[in-house]
Amino acid sequence: MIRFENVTKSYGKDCKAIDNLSLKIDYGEFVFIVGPSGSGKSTFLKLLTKEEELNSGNIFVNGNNLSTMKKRKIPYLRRTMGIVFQDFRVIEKMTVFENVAFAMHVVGAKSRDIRKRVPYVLSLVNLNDKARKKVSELSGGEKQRVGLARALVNNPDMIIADEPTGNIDPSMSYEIVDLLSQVNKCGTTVIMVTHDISIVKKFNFRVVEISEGKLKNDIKPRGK
Amino acid sequence: MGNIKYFLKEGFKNVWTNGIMSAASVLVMVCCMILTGGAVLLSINLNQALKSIENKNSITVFLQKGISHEVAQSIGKKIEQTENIFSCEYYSSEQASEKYKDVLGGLYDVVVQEGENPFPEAFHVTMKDLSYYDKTVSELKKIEKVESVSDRSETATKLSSLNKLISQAGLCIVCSLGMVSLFIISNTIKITMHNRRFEISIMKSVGATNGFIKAPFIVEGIIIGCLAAVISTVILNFVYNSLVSVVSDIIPFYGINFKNIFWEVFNCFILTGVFFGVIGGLISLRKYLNREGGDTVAW
Repeated sequence: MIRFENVTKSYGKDCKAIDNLSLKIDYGEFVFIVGPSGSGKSTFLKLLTKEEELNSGNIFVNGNNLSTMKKRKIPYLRRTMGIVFQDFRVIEKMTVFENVAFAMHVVGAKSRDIRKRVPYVLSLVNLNDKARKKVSELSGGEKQRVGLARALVNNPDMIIADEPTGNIDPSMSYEIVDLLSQVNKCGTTVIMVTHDISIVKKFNFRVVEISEGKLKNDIKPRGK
Repeated sequence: MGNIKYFLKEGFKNVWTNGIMSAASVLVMVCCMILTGGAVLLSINLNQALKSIENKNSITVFLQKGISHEVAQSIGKKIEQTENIFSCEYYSSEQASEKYKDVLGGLYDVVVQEGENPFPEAFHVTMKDLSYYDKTVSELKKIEKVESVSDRSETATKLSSLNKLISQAGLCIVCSLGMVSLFIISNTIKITMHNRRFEISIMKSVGATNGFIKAPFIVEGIIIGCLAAVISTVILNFVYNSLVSVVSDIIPFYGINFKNIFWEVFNCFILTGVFFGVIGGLISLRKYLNREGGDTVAW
């Protein structure tokens, strides 16, 4: 599903954010991406969403070679991905329902489908009863669940979560990762960048460690 | 259909949220349109005046000053005998003086000293065939004691050079104000985009196409253009009618009726407004989406 082949990405002459990285992630996998700050985790995600162009190598996502992909095809690539941000990136002035519906609206979904799909997704993240609430009235954990619902609403092939637990308390963090693991059980690939070792230890998933832009460790889940 | 509704809603929202800048854009476009429309209307009126002068087959023959009525009558006979003359009507200096007293009213006493009559004896002459106009005029000029002949070609030349000047000045004004309008509109839209960059980044992250992101901002430009067009038409209508009524009180002037060209003016303004709105929008969008907007996901 995702294949990095000798990928290198540099900023300037000397700064190699990703250095000759090769990695394969299969359909339906749950992968933690870990590593210290500045190790290249964010660049890895940027390359995956084609926000950044690579310097050499190849990246394949669902059979599409991102290095040769045309600009106008990028939105369609991103529709196969649901992105969850550390800072939630929800629109405060909108309600929970509107925030999730917004993601469907911008990809041209019909109002009838939006009215059906959004309540279903909100029920998956246990926010059904807060659909009409303004996002500004929610807690950090709830905001992140709105973010997760928005990522899920267009039925993506994969969820890309960039430190989704970084701005919420530990108990909520487990809840969010638990939700992600449930999504993963339904067959959606999940790639989650995190600094939180306790979460990595608690959940038995594959761990990819990046350091100085290189693959340092690739630990398969225990007993799988 | 759903998308069109969404684009319209967002477009109106953008205009409203960015009220002051939108108003500034509308104002500049209104100035541009009124000046352009004014220049065009003036040019149309001048063309009409030119045509009416060219179509007139009557001219005025002015005699030298201080000629007695008897001498004038004898010159009149000579005029009548000239080839191509259909009629010749005597117009005394007293009659001319009376006419201008009526037209100028109180101003007459300011312009003309008491007891003095600055007008010469004259004849209103009608020609049989306008194709011999120049020849007839030169024949009349040859008659003794004829001071001058009101030559339509002279007036026509003056009017047409004035028309040319107005067209050139109008073009300069339109070009410079057009550039200013484009600059203001594109900046207004750029500010709206900057204010909504957060939403735009979310839109891009969930896979919105550039076209979908651009559309509400193009609609914003179109709304600004249309608003300017409506306001300009209303103001131009009012100003033009007022000016025509003031001018026609002073001199015999039959300007074209604004009602007859209302829709032409309105449609031209709408087209111009939409054109400027779309171009202004596209300029800012292209720049924005290529620069700031390129940073979509912003990890």
